[in-house]
Amino acid sequence: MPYKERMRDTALAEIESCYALGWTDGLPVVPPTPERVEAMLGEWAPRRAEAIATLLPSGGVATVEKIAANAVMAGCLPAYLPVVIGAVQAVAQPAFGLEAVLTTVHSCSPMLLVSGPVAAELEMNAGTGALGPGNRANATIGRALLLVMRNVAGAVPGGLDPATLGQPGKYSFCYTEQTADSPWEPFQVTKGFGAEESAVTVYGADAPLCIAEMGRPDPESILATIVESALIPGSYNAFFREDLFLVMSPNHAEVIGAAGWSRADVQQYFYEHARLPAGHLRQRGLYGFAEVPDYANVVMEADAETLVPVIASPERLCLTVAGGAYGGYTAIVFGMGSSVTLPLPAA
Amino acid sequence: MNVQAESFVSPVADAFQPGEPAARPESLDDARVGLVDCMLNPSGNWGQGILDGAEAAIHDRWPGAAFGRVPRPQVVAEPTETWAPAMAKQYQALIIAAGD
Repeated sequence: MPYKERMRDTALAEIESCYALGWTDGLPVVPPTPERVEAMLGEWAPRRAEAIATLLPSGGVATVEKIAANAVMAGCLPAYLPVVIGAVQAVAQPAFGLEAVLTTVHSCSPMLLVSGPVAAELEMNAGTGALGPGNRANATIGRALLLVMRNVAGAVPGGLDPATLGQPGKYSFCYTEQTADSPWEPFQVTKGFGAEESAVTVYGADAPLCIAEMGRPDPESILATIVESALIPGSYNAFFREDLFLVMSPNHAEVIGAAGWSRADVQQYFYEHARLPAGHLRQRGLYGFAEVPDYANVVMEADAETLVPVIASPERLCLTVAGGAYGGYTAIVFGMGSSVTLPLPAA
Repeated sequence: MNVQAESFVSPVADAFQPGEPAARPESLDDARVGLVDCMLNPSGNWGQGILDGAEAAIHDRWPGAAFGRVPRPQVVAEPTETWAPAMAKQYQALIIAAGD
């Protein structure tokens, strides 16, 4: 057999072995050979055995080496490893509720927002198609995190991941902000970090719902369309009333920012207007099924006509800016629980 | 052509952090056993059915055991750090039914 053909057969056999071992998300992976994992570890190699986190639901220990092996499989470059490690640290924070995000029958999955200078250093795409395919860093960093969820946290579909439907974001959901075209400070600044600090934010996200408002380029019209599109009584937000992400296109952000609206103004507007009648909510979605959390008692106890906000407080709206220059779109990312932001770790 | 798993660095966790096991009493006779319903949907009574079975099995083996039913919401529950010590003051054993 000619050399090239033999090599091709070997490469395909390695990939098939990874399938047979149950390590993949259904897409082919780069087989994690010792040489590739060593290259991925780089300056992290002395810390390879260090436990970065213990991940529920399985209680698997995510060592630096395990994370690196998953990063290799995802197709990451070694420069991406600190971001993946930071993301693993973030999902392990109790406030994130990883065991709930991974073991619910709902379709949410860890979404990753990369903020700060590291995004440009890794040549992440914040522009056209920011939430879509085509950029290696966006695609593989998000995939690496979710392979860790499978292989270390045990979130195997049909196993500890019992999601009824799942969603495409369970393969990869990672993006970064278009800070150059944003009228507001970078997202990590709202979480107490500096504009020149790099950070990772994780969120138990549903698939993004992309909505258009292009006929009325004024802040009130854009925000009204966003608000009305967020009034979905079957969303988990309508029940838990926790964090909700907006990924606003630069076009929408520019119109709103140019009119003098701060990020806090947008959050307050959303909080005041994104409301559903309590009586309607009580007849929809999770109401009547799940135990109502204390903070949702307002829905159970209020008069039927009382308007209840879909986020419990203004700061629950996580406003980010990304996407191409043309087109007035905003993606609403419903989800479950609280987001967590951590600084990028150093080797 | 097969490639052996040993050719790779396994991405799968090979260590799991064990929880600290609680002390196991020799007998549950004279013990008070808490039966905790921690289902996401308690109104479905699936958790109560599971706990009924547990209660019957324990009663058969240790007729002197006493039982108490404990509701525990799965969503935004009291933190385990404060809930568990409070339970320990009332019960010598807990059986928790949990599901989505």
